[in-house]
Amino acid sequence: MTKTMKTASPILIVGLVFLALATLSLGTGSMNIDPPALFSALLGTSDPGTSLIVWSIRLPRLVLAALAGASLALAGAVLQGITRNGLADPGILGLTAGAGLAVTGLIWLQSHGIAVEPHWRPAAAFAGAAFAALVTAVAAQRDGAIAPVRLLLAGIGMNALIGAATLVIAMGLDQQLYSAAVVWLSGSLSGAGWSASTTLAPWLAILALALAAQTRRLDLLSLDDETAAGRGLAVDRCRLRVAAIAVGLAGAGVAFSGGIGFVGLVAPHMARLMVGPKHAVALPLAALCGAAVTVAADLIGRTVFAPLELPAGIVASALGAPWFIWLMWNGKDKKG
Amino acid sequence: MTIEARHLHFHYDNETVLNDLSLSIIPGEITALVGPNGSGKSTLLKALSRILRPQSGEVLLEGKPIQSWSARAVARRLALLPQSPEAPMGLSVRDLAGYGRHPWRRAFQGSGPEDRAAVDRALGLTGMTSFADRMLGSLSGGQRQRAWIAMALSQETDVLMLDEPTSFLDMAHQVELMQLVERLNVEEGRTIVIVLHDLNQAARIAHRMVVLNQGSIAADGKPAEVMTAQMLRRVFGVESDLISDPRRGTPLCLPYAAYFSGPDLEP
Ligand SMILES: Nc1ncnc2c1ncn2[C@@H]1O[C@H](COP(=O)(O)OP(=O)(O)OP(=O)(O)O)[C@@H](O)[C@H]1O
Ligand SMILES: [Mg+2]
Repeated sequence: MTKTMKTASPILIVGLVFLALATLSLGTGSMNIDPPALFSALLGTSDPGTSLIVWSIRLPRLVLAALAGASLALAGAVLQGITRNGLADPGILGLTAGAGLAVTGLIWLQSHGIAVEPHWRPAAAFAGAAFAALVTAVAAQRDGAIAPVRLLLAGIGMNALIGAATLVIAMGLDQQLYSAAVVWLSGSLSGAGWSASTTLAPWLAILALALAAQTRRLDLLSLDDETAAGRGLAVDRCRLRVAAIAVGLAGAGVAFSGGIGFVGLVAPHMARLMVGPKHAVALPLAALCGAAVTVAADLIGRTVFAPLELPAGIVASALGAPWFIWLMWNGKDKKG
Repeated sequence: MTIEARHLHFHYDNETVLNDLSLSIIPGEITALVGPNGSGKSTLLKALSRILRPQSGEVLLEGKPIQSWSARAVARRLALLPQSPEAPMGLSVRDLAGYGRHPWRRAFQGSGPEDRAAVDRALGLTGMTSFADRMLGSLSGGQRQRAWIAMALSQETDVLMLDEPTSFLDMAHQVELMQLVERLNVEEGRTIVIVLHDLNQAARIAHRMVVLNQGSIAADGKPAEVMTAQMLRRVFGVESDLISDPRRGTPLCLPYAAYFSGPDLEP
């Protein structure tokens, strides 16, 4: 098998899986729509009722799920690469928690009569993630260098700290706002409209492009620092640059749909299992896997217990946590 | 390509590792760095290749302070293979060897014909051509070490710095690597700085042997001048007989007794 075939076929396969999931997701709900009807609804040739369901309810939700999933997966892939630890992801390193704290803070302000427009929420989530990343990095650094293991430990500490702070703030909320906070924190795509996706898409595009320019440097960063430096990489500067991109991606990923856990962990692993560790092929595949996993999690969450709806984040965690434990157990991703 | 270290001083927390160390690497020579464990060989190699910045003193590359060069510019002239490099196990040998091309490539530019030729050549020189598509995780320790050497070679630099490149190799591959080092030196005029624990091997291939002890140079010169029973006793704490290598005439040491903590314990 040639090299291009080896990388092209996983992308094709995951792409097809994604399309199948998307079709299923668009067709399933309070009113089921079969593929031909779905197709004509997408083309705008079906009855207005079906068109409305597809175009203003299910499609924006699907697109947001895919974009958020792709963002989180890319963020996770980069974080795993630069920490050289397969257990790193935006959740583990405290970025999601930082975003959650910021959003809970906004809701708290609201409960105290300081109304903040909802569209500030993404900005707050982004700032929260960046703040958490900064504190984690400062806590992890020693003599100006950040050792991968220390970063992971600092992230775990940050998570505990921020989680506690978020809980304290959330407990001060009234019942209704508390539920709103909890829904966001658990990662829900419920009620997503087009505005979320149209805000998110350009962000994702810019950050993904920035990342595309760094794939070979990311490859070197997954070696030890000395070997990477010996190949001409300005290691610390480069790690900082891609970490900033990852924080941006994580912020984008959680800004609208909240912390959908474990997607950032699982998707990069799936990609590497299929095409190996080189970022030029692993990153796009990870993004595709992240989109597919998130769409699947949302689909499961809103159909299995229908009419009750589970947030996608809960489903993703329920599926991802065993994977996480299995990874730890197996000691995958060893270096040599 | 001249490399000169002037009055290097390096310490971790409160442990001094390099102590007022000055050394100039002579272009076109094979310099063997030897010394006991912890004597500072790896640290010196990292300082010479801009990876560590000494607390005082400086390294000059072509007469200019090495810290004023970019990492990339240094990597086009000098390839360091550290003592225990790490890579993801899922990486293929060919991809790893290709990492040596990084200083020569631009962002978004795929690997060109020169890159592929350099990688093929490096794989050939290290006998790794038939392993090119294997993953690092599926290789033996020695095969993996040869993959790393291939990475350093594909960088095509004037200067090669190898930190214990033979540690995992069997006898034949050790001899082969020594032949390769000599060939790169003789046929291509490459300057080589190599850390070796096998003093006899070092004496056989090196133009110059630099003996490090506790962060300072304990002896420096032609192998025949440096390899003396007295030096071996003082630096390594071994008693040894010295004979002449029947093939090359270089000194061979045959240690017969060792002190665990240096010669002070001698009765
Ligand atoms: N990262 C580090 N932190 C603290 N001390 C270190 C570190 N790296 C090396 N050292 C210390 O510096 C000293 C010199 O280490 P170095 O690696 O240069 O020795 P070496 O001559 O290469 O030894 P070996 O033959 O065992 O490879 C040792 O005493 C070691 O304990
Ligand atoms: Mg060493």
